[in-house]
Amino acid sequence: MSIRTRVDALLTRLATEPQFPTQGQTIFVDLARQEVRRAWIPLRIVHALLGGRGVNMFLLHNLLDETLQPIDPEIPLIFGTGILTSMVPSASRGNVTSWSPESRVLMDSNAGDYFPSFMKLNGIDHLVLYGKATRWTLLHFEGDQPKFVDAAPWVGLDNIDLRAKIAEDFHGVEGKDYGLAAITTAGENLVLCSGIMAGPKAIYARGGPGAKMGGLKLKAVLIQGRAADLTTARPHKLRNRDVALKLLNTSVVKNALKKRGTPFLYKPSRMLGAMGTKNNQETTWTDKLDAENIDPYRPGMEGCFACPVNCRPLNDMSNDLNVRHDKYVKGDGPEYVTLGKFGPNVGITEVTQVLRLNNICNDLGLDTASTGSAISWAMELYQRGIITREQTQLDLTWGNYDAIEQLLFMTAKREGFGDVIADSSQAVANGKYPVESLDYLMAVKGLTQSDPHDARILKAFALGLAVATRGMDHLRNRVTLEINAKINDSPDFKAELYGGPVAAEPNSYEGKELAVRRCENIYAVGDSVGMCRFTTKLFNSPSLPGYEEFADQVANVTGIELSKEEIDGIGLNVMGVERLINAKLGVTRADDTLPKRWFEEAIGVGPYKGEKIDRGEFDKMLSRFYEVSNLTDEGLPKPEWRGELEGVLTS
Amino acid sequence: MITVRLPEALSDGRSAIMTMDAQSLGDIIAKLDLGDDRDELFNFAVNGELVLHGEKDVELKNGDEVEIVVAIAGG
Repeated sequence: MSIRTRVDALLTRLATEPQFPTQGQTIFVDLARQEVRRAWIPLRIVHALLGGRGVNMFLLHNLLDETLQPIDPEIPLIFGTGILTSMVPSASRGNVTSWSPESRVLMDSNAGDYFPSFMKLNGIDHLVLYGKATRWTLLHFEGDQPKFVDAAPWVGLDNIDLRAKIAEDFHGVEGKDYGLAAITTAGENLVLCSGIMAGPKAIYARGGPGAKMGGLKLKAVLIQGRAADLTTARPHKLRNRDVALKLLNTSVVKNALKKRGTPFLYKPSRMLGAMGTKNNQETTWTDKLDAENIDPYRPGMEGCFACPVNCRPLNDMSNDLNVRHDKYVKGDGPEYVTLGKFGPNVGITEVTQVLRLNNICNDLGLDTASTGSAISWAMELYQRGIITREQTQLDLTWGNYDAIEQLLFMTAKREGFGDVIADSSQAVANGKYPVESLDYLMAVKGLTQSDPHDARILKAFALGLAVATRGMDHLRNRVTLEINAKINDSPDFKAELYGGPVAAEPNSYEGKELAVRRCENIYAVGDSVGMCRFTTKLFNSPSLPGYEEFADQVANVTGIELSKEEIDGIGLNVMGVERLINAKLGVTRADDTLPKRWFEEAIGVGPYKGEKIDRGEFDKMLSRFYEVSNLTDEGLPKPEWRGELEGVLTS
Repeated sequence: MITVRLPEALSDGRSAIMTMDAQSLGDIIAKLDLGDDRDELFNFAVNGELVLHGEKDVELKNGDEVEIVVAIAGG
């Protein structure tokens, strides 16, 4: 069945007018035929999956033809904005969803800055893109009306120059007048570790969204103006003030996120002996990359649309005479992920080198998690002699900064050995590495690890990485508070947070399934309302906004009343639908696992020296996770619940 | 004597590096008044190794270095 037939069938089941105040349209854009169709998501879907990531899953489930290939233009690329995006402090996020060309399982990636907010501000809740444009296209929305613009003037441009030229050509300021989601040359070249840039640094990163968008010959989506009527069901601004105060009074925001941002995490990870180093062959690294050593290069902090937190550190090395002074001398970032992936994981020790690689990746539109992982994988293969200088034409010795920088540009162009890095985790499947290379790939379900934390010690982290529906990614369910001794030493409080007893010891397997389940639910709800993960309860603090605030503001903004139990059930539903999608793509229990290294090689340093993952204990923990998640032994929704979900998805 | 390093957020007018007598981390927590009011942001490290549970019972010996570390999650 073609995508057009699927869209036709789906449209008969959607609403023809808004179902609640502030609801935006779902716009279907056939890029090949330049046709546009519109509908609204019915209330029964909203009650089950809310919006944003949740409703994206409803759309993908209905439109996915698993007999094709992920990059096929008949596989849609779906942008979604949270049901509260742009209307509640720190809710400035949205997701992009498809079948991942990088991992070959579910692709679902979240970004902030301005694009998701400008979707909502113009009455667009979901944007479903399919069909290959006959020429490179820029989709230009003024309000909710799209124009198909020949993208020739912007093709070949990377993020810095592209955003400058768009601002000039469309006479506006990003974030004030418009939101922009665009690919770089890496996306044009179908680089599997490329993302869709939603700002100077904000990126829909994971799973190869840049390549997926490039496969549609779509260079950019520009949404200009603020045309939507966002009159809420009830006044919501007073409650917004409570949310903002709660955010700003939380210690993690006040003392960490607003000051230095996420690089703070580098230090505790290395002190624990859990900092992924040299492709996780080692687990600690230099203190030269501790967050305070970035202070001299941080001129200030930035933030997403209407977010009071401003957690994004900027960088500027202009006063350092020892660094190259070109367009990469300043930029936006780094986050902890980039610091780890382009520091210890590739053997780099200098702050200025990490900052420069960060700025280059932002310009080239490369996901620093996947790209850094692909490079560290190559470096270990080089170290082991599995690949040689003859193949790479570069000296891939750990810490060889010049080779790493050169490789980034080669990757974006798919030149030389860059063509291998551009294939990311698919390098073996594409015949570029021998099969034995898979023993050293730090990936789950085809997606390399998002963050640098080596999870052989913290078993809740390990379980989360194994069961995350998009692959090895901490942002789906990380039980971050497991790293805090005060909470670990408060069993009653911990049990209240996670809905049952969870062992105090981070390396114990007991009860960790409860904690992962609770986090996976609330984070899925957060993605569906559009809330930032950093400021969602349980990710960084038990004191941040959670179900109570989400339910109150969903009621105020939309008029839809949801109990705490119902909203928690929505989180579970989102995971359930994602597992149904993954099942169509061939995912089974065997894929809810971890890299071989973590089962077979022990941590060599620190207070947990000797720690690794025990296969038997892990398997029992996985079974318990399935049980508390209402999943079968194969990791699929149990029959009764599956029937309910399929009823929602197909009715 | 034990050397204790405080992060900026907890210095509260105190020196960033202090020395004190203590038999355990529990003693340090009491002397610095970081008990129940301390929030989830701060963890202790002893001689460069992070403590993730049972912190009050961690025994200290003369010359040990204790550091209070900011621990958050990132993306």
